[in-house]
Amino acid sequence: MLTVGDELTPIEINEVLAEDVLEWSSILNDPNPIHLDPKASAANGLGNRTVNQGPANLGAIINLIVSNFPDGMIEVIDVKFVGNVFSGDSLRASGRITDVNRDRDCSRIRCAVELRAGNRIALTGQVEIRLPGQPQSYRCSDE
Amino acid sequence: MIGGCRVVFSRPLKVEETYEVQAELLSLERKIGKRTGVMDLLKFNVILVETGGEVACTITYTWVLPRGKSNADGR
Repeated sequence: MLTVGDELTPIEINEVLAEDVLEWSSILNDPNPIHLDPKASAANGLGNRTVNQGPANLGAIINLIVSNFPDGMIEVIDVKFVGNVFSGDSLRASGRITDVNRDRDCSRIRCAVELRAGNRIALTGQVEIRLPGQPQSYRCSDE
Repeated sequence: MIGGCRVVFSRPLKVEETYEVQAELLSLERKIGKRTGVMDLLKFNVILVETGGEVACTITYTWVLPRGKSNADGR
């Protein structure tokens, strides 16, 4: 039974590839050179690797939620981007259940989430998920 | 650079649905960071509206706009 305090199954990404950062720039129509050219990163005091896009970092968190709650619907994502992810970094998206509530026709789960690039925290926040029905495999916060 | 975002899905986004995108500025606040110097924090909403007028999704962004080294008066 899932309950408050339980850890989500994390997602690990071995390496952020520079070519993937380039592709994200194309998809997002984001011309910021820190995503395209390591020299631009260096010129902005960000080291000698390209910077992964914030929405791509958020994507890792969304994948974390979708893989842990395949029947769920994300209702709220509230995150802060507290550090950069660079090409070559390994990533680990993790989370913990902080609240479970049953409504009349659904359950709502809140999770604290975090994305780490190596040992650095890149993103922190909260996600609220709506689950259809009232699955008995979740223990509510007030039970 | 993006500093944070809050995404509220009022209803599922659908393939083939047409959405009107609205935006509104919420605040612009000057701050002085220890490492980044003078910066402006811009907060704004991006709202996706279905053709029937129902709001499907509201995204509240906070963007950090570095303005260079700090002056004594914060300008």
